[in-house]
Amino acid sequence: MNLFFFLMSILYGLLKFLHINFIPYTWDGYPVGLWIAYLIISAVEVILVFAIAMIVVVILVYVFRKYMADLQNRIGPNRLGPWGTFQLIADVFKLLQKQDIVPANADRLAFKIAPYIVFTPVILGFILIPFGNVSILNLMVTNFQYTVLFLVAVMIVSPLGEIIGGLSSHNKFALYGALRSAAQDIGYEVPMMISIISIVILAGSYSANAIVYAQRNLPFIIPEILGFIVFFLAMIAKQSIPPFDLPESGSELVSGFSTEYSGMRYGIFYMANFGFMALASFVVATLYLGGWEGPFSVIPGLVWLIIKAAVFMIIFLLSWIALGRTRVDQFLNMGWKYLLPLSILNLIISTGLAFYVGGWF
Amino acid sequence: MTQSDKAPGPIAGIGGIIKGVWTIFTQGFKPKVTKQVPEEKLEYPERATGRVFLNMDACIGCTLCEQICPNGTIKMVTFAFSKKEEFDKKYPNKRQIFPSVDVSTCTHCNLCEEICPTGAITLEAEIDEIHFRRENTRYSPPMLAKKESELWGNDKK
Amino acid sequence: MEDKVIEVNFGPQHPSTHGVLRIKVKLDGEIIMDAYPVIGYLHRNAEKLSEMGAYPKALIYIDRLDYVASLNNELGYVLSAEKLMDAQVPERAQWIRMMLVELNRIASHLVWLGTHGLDMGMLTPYFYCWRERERILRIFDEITGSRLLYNYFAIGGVYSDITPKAIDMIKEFLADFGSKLEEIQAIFAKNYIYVKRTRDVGKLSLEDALSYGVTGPLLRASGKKWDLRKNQPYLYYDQVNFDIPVRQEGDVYARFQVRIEEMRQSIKIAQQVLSKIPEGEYYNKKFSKPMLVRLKGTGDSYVPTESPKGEYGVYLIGDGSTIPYRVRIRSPSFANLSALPIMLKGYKIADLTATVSSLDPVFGEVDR
Repeated sequence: MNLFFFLMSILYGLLKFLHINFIPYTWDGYPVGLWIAYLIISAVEVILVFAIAMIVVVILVYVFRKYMADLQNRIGPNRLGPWGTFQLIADVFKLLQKQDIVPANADRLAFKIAPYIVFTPVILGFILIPFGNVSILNLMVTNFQYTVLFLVAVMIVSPLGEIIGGLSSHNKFALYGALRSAAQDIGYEVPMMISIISIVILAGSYSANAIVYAQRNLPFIIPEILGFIVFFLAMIAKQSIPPFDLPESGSELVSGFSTEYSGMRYGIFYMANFGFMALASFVVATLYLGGWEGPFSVIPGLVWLIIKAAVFMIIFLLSWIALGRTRVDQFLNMGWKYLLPLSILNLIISTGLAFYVGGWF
Repeated sequence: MTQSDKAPGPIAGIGGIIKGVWTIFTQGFKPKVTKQVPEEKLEYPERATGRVFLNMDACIGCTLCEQICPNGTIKMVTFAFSKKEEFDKKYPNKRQIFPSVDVSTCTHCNLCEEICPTGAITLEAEIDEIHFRRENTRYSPPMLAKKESELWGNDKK
Repeated sequence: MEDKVIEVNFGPQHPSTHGVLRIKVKLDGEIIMDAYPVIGYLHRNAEKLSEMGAYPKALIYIDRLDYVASLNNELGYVLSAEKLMDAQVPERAQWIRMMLVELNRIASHLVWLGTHGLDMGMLTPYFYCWRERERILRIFDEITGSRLLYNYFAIGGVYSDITPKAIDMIKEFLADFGSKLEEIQAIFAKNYIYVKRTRDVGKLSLEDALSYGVTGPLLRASGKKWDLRKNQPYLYYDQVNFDIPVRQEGDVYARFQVRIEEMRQSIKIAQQVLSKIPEGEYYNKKFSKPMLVRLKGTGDSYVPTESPKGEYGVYLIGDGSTIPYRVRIRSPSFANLSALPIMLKGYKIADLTATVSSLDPVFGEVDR
């Protein structure tokens, strides 16, 4: 039986990869070896997505270090590997061999769990993005109906991890970082959700595939320019990069919620930070710029998605390198007093558009 | 000038943000200002205060440099020569004492060069001061007369 | 959470207290109720060590007080010692001293600008400021032999002459530093994030400033037009034209504007001085080599000078021997730092770093 299931799962995986959803049924109505084969193939896909996400994070960290050095008139890492590409691997090895320090008065279980709570939503988010087609190969991991809703639910979990990490550290600086993270998360979640709802109203469905299909004539950035501004600023706020890096303000509170973390736990926070930046660029590219569609069909869809996401990654990196930090009360002011009314206005506009020209999208 | 510049309002302020980001963005296209040091060489001006050098022909053994050194780096040592007549002919130092310097504690403050009446002890532009053993850092007077490359060659110091 | 007042220690090791400053802050939520600075982590006994050797030997310890711009320290000591001994200084030496002190003022304000940007969260202007400062340090390397701690001024002149290559380097630097400065300060000046963070923050009123003995750019940003180069001129400052920037508000943005304007005026002064340096000798021979350890002084003297941080002077008492009886250093950062608690009451944590970095303390000076 084991060999049979293994072969069935390989067969289903290949068929799904080639756009064929083929499920044979037995004589009494049950699908043949369905559940365990689908389990195995889904596990393999998740591991592949995890690997791809890690590769994207590594490339993003390298680009960040080299680009920041470029803007500061210096050369970044250039000793290890050709043009310094092995520097991050060396840094990971360095972090792996450090002593594991847990503060004496800290809450041990919460302290150890917190980095993983921050890191897991990043991988979950990557599963939900449609990666397009490459000639006849299907690269979309799932055909789930409520992708966007699941994405929002998953992005809420990360700040919870920051709060748990900060509060369990028994350190006043970490306490301040955790409280600021909570305030930032609450303040910027609502405008983000309202601008996503306006897109869903225009596209008519919660599924990411349907949103990409609805942008085949016109990307959503044009009718929803206000929503784009709101969503863009809310994404910068959720990633905690300057100008909105309150929870981890490097020069005020020593390192915010991650003050007491050292070694590989800190490495996981760092990777989660960059992973979230990559995820946010892909999400903005899918929701507002049209995903994997592009004018010239000779270039595969995956490359279009990568180009659009890369544009946003460069914009986020420039914002990190070039801008200062806002103060907490001014930052929350902006969220509640300016972004929320703008997003509601955008919702009204898009509802009106959906009424009158909804069929076109 | 006592006028107070008014702080810019929101629209001028956001224009300022964009201008700041544009200034930083264009710096990315200018040449780099750092040098890769082991491969490229740094140049030092001629007055650079590097390591202490001693001109044994000019030292008269007045011990003023030992008195003025702020942290006791210079200590006078007697230097035994093998033949006394040869010594009397070559060096004008009647007391036969010369300064020895611990190059790891020297602060390069230049006081010994300023106070030396004959200009025998000077600081030259010899900046490479990495030693691997602590006992190699106390230089005796003949060692002070030579450059680093002559002293050690290619050995580890 | 009940309404409790927490005491947090912004300890001696912190990424943004400019040196080793420890502030005990009482916080209620995010609002600062009280702040109490604790100093003394960098005490190196400069005054006592200066009283154990000859007059020129004390220059080593005086150099290391404000290590960012150390020619100002030497100038205060040297002018005071020359007044004590009634020394005649040749004209060329005085003009050289003026020019190098103004270059040092530019270097010190560049350090302030770079680290101020870091405290506000901006990572890049730091590197641009250091790139400009590197050119100044190379000029000093050419003239004096060291980049940072010089031992160049002597009682009675300067130890060595400036070379023609150095004069060319200074001319080249002054010609295009003005445009680079405009570029760097444009990143800050109208930036909305920066303005909102520094306007009405860390205010110091004029009465408070005068009662605490605050001098320098902080006093000028609070409204009083007081600069020792114009009010009590020492070297040849009455023969050059320059303005003094003054602002009324007394907040961090006003201090930023005052320092940027001071940098522009320093460029003007340095250019005028460069064209006016006369020929002549640079070191009074009566105070030179054989006499160095035999200089004697009697009486007391104090000559205040304007360093980039404020009023700096050295009070010397001599009792007729070759060793000074008392060397007392009036450091500007110490007096400025004592006004920190009133500048912080009622503001938020984020304003703490903004205010401390606008004071521009250097802990070599505060702790001596």
